[in-house]
Amino acid sequence: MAGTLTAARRPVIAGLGITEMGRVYGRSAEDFAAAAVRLAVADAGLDLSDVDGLLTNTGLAGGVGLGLQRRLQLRDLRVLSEIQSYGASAGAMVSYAAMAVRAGMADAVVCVFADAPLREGLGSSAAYSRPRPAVGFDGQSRHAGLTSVSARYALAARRHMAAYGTTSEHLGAIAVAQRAWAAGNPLAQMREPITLADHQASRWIAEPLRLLDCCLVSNGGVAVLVTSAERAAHLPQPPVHILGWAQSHPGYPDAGESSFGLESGAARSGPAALKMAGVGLSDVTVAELYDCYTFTVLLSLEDYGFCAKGEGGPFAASGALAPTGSLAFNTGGGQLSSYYMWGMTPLSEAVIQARGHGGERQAPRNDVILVSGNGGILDHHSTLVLSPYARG
Amino acid sequence: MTAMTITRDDASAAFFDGTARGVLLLRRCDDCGRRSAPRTLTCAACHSARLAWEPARGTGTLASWTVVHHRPAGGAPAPRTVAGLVQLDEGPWLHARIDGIDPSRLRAGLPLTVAFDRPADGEAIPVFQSAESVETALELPESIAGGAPLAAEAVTHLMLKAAEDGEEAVAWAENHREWQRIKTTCDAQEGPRVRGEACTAVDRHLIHDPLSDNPPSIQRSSR
Repeated sequence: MAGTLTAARRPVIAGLGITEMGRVYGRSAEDFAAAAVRLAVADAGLDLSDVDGLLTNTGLAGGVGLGLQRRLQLRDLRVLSEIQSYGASAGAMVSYAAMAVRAGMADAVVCVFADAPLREGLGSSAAYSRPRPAVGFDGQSRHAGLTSVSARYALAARRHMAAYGTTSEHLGAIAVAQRAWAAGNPLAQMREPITLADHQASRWIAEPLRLLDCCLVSNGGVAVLVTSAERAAHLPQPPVHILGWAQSHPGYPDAGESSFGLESGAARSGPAALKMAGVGLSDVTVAELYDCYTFTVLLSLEDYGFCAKGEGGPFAASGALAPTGSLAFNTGGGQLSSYYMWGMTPLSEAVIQARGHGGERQAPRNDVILVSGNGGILDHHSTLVLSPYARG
Repeated sequence: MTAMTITRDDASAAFFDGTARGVLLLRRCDDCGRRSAPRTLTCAACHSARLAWEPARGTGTLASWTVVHHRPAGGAPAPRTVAGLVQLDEGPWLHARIDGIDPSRLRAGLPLTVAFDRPADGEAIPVFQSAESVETALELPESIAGGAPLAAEAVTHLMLKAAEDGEEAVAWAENHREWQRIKTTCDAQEGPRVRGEACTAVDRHLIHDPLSDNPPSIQRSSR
């Protein structure tokens, strides 16, 4: 029973669910996912019986998939899929949900991510560098020392440094700015201010990345509910309009002409999403940029065009990203300081900002919010353009 | 950090057959000739799936690197290793451990040459060393650096240089089957490939190879 494409079917985010977050043990990823879905549906003023679409994205621990339908006793879903493009998944899920709503394929689509990689008594790094057999060409990379995601991002960061003169202090400015934003976020796990000296004194993980260049690792779940503007008009939360979306997956070749470390998919998905939204970069008032590492932010700033290519370091060091700076940027502290829920971290903060629910960290102007997602080793990128307002 | 055992799978079998022989293999497109990284299954230039294996020269430059600080175990100081993104002179990239170079000397574009790590278990793994320090220490004749002479000359030269600490090293090396094989293999090759293989041979059999029977111990200087 497909609906007719009308202006009224403009897609919005009408529900947001964030579970307990961080070192929360004894619950599986699916436990967190189910809780997040319930929270998002309740936040939207709906019941589980109203949900007719479900998109899931599983993290490291696995287990968040199609089985969530049975677990939550969801009947006669019109959309149900597992989505995986790692950190770009949240943006991807929301864009697919938006298209389903626009097409009349479904009316209330929940997008959920959850993970539970932390184990009691084990450090965060253990979660993302788990031992596995060293086989084949991957074994060659592991023999080289690339046994963690951090080491692979370090290769990217070092290439940028060699090409453009980016420094560890430049990266540190991003960590410091985000921590300052986190101070105003009650959901943030790390709210104690840090200085550039703290960053420089933090231990090396994989040079040129220090501990304070790396995101947290969190157990938890986040879900959003996507519906039509027409329906959202009768729901309790201020709707967050999904104005534009795009993805880019560069497919870096293993060869010298690769732009690995120098340019990410943001360079293509950014302009495409802004064009769909009918706005320009200068209209963006809030940017929630994916930040698995400080370097990911630096590269994204350049690729979106907030500064020129190669000038991400000096731009960050200028203080532009701090709460007092020129751009309301990673206003919740991001994954470096708040919580690590892949693309759901920037997305959830964007929803909070669009609703004007940011409290002391609320950006003064929230009319155009850019949200990025990044997955793999800079392999996957998604962009969303959100707004409290329907497109004029 | 304990030694890592690398095992082969179907996709990497030919590659590790190569490393076992001391040869670094690349893929070469049958249709357009482009050289690709060993793991490549589709040519990045023309999308052909017809990729053959071909020996690389074994030389390249450092495209990027990271000094990985591993978790200390049992009170020992945290071990550091250098992981490199090596751009082979043929163009492809390879992840490889960088050996024997102080991290402070690492820079983009640093010339590198292949060697092979041969752990007791598992496959032989290509690693890279500074080509500059090898050339300097061994003072290769200009003709070798220039790319013309036969491998026999190169290997003999290297052996003689390496044997400055004792004539028995030469005797050992000359009687060593692997050296004979490399000499034969390299006879048909020229230039940087010769240099790479010859250095690898000296390295492996005179310095590093723990499996050799009573190998001569010869220290090479390096800058």
